[in-house]
Amino acid sequence: MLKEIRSAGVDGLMIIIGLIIVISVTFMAVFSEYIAPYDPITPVGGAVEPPSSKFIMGTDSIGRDVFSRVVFGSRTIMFVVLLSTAMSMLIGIPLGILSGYAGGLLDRALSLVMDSIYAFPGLILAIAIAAMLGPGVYNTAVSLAVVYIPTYFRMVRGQVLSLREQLFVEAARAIGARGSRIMFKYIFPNLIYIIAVVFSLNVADAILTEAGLSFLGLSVVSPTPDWGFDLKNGQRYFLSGIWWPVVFPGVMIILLALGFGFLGEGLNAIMGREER
Amino acid sequence: MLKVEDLAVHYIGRKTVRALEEVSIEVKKGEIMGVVGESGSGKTTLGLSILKLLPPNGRIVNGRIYLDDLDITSMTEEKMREIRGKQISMVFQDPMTSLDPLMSIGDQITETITTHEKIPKREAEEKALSLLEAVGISGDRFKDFPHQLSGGMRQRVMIAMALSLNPKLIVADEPTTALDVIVQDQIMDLFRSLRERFGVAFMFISHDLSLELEVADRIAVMYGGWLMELSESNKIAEDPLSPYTKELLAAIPNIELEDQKLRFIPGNPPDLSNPKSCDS
Amino acid sequence: MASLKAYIATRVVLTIPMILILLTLVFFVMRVLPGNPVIAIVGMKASPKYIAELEHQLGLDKPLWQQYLDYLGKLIQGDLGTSMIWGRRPVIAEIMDHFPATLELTICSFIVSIIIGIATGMIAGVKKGGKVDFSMRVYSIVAYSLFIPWFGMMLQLIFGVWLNVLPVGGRIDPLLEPKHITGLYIIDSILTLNFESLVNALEHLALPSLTLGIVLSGIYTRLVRSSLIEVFSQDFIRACRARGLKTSSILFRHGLKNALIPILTMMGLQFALLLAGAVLTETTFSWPGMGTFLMERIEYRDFTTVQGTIAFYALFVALVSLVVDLIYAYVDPRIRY
Repeated sequence: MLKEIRSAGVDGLMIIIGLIIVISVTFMAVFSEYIAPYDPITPVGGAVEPPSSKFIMGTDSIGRDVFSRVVFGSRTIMFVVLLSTAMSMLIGIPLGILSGYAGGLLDRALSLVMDSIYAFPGLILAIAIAAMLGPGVYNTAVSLAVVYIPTYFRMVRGQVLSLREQLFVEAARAIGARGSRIMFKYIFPNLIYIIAVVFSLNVADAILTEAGLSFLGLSVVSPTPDWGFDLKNGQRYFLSGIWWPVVFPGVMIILLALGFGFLGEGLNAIMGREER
Repeated sequence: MLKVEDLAVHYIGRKTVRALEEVSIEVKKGEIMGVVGESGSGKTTLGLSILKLLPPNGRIVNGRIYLDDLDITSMTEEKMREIRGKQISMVFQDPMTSLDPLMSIGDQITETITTHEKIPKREAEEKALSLLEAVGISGDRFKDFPHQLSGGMRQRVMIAMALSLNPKLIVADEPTTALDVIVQDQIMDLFRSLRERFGVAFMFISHDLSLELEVADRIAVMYGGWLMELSESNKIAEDPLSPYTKELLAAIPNIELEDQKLRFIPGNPPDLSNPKSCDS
Repeated sequence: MASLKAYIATRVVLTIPMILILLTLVFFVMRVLPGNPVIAIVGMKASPKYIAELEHQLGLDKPLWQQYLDYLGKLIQGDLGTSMIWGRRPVIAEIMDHFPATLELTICSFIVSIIIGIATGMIAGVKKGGKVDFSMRVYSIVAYSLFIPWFGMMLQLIFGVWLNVLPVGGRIDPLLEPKHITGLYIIDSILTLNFESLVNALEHLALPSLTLGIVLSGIYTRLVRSSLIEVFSQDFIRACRARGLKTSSILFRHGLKNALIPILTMMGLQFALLLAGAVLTETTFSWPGMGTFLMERIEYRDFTTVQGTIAFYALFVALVSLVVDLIYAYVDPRIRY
């Protein structure tokens, strides 16, 4: 795959930039304790102190270090998003395989249900679930998971359907290749690419949805460090010139979404070319 | 009517491709001129040059093109636009990519007419209707969309469009290559009948010499950007001048002979970015 | 046109199960999920008698399947429930108070997004493969990643505070509200020839619609680009020029229609994104629409209203998706034949 990426020109550039961003933020999330200079939930300075050498991103309305909250916030959002994605995949993928393989009434019924959910505004569905479940990291993950199950369902089902009909599977069978060999040699490489693309683009979307839920006050419990949540807290003072509690967390949300977005887009473009 | 004198066309790029060299050709009024050659011979470039539709990197580096004594070689795009479709039109190989899938065929023909003539839409539509009939498509298909028609019919629509303003010349670039042989014959018949009825001249570009022999009055043979031979079609078959033409003729399979080996001309077409002197 | 009628009929019939599924989903989320919604509302400290009373009021003491049927039955009659707080007004009435604001915002944002989307998509599609094309593709990813509240706040800062040319929040200055005919300030002020209100309404609409419009425009860029690449092949442009057509008329008469088709295809989906984005936009700009309404009622634990509002969203989305599909079938002849 690396060979293909390098020969891909601008799309390769997109993938590389995306990877850099994603890996950096993941690093930040994993090693938060070593990167953040202060404890994110304890006030360590005066309220809304501007960025200085002591607090490089300033302090928020309660005097907590914005930079530390940003660093730890990466852990919160990555955890919630990845957990919810895992849940979506755990339910969506098997259902998709089942539906695509079984066909008939089961397929039609399942598809109708999934399409209906897919058509409903994701954030609003998440809001409804989050409102009823209450705040908390795990509850938020569940809200997000439900919203994205149809995405994985559809992708996998589509793959199963098209692969069933692919001529090369027929051809391979015709020349006597064993079932499992068909699977590994022909089906898997294609599938991996597609999963990577859908995963990246989906995570990008989930990040924005999580941030949205946080901004609306429905995701985490104070004082958990969370970018969207901090954005909401900073909104009050923003227009009077206190920009740092808003700008920094906001930029991080955008950056992380961009990272996954570039990754997905770049992979998608390369995959498109490969198919030809 | 159309006179091409010493035309030389190059495609500028990292390697400059000399697509046409010293080509002089004349198309008389109402004549069907066949231009035959293999890929890369320059025949398509010739057609495009006449309508000044060369891609951005194509340049006319020498020679003149005259339409009825009017020098159109260095004409401005604005003036050329008036000539295209009205005095000279062009039909391309793939009718599907030339048609807008969202507009009915009748509307697209009407559009061509109203672009050049300030007549009320109703009148233009009637003209379009009669054009459809002239090319052998029933009038009640006026409101049909391109995807509802077969390949042969779509090509007829393109011909109807090309004919709509009674041009002096229609340049047809491989018009039947994408169609099956029966439809090919029908289109050839159509050319002949249109020429009879409307007096329009055709420049029929193709790689199929046997087709040209059937329908063209005169045939120009092209190779490597050069005009190899130009004479009446019956004379070419009997008394070909250039060795290349001889080979082309010999390569035409004869349905009557039994045990026939397909003849082909050995070698590849010349690399037009690196022309060597003729050494056939 | 017979096949068009058949298509319409099929499409309408298919919408019904979709609505049913969505409403069931709403029921599941609102009733089944939280266990005991009453406790969620009043907290654990309320007296058992009060809880039982509320449960009875909300019909929660009935068996679940009966609650479900009651719920559906009421919805068919257009009863979205009654609010649990303040004036105990019917939910549908309260929604209608706030719906026009969201509608106005949504429509204006949509217009902004397709103008930008078509423009960028056309540029990218026509100049395929070059640097311009690439930057348009980048634009579409970046635009969508702009977190709406953050982006909105930045625009508020730049245009509202630094440049001081546009208001930062609200829908209109209190004294300039036009006479209520449709609830859409733009239309109402035009109808009553109240130009001061019109200008004021537009000023307030500017930043929110720009925010939501720009963020969603990226999706259209991509769609328009790929549709144009398909149709606007070099062959097509060359064939049009061979007929003597002007490049500008080629672009507009043929290009625009083909560019709009993919937008229509996706519009059902995009509309959902519009509604979702509107919630964030409204809360950022204090826009008194359904989004702020929903959030407010969630905060006040007005359970029935929240449920009714979500159900309304479901119905609205299904309806719009149906209408869009029908328009699409009308416009693109390839569908019906």
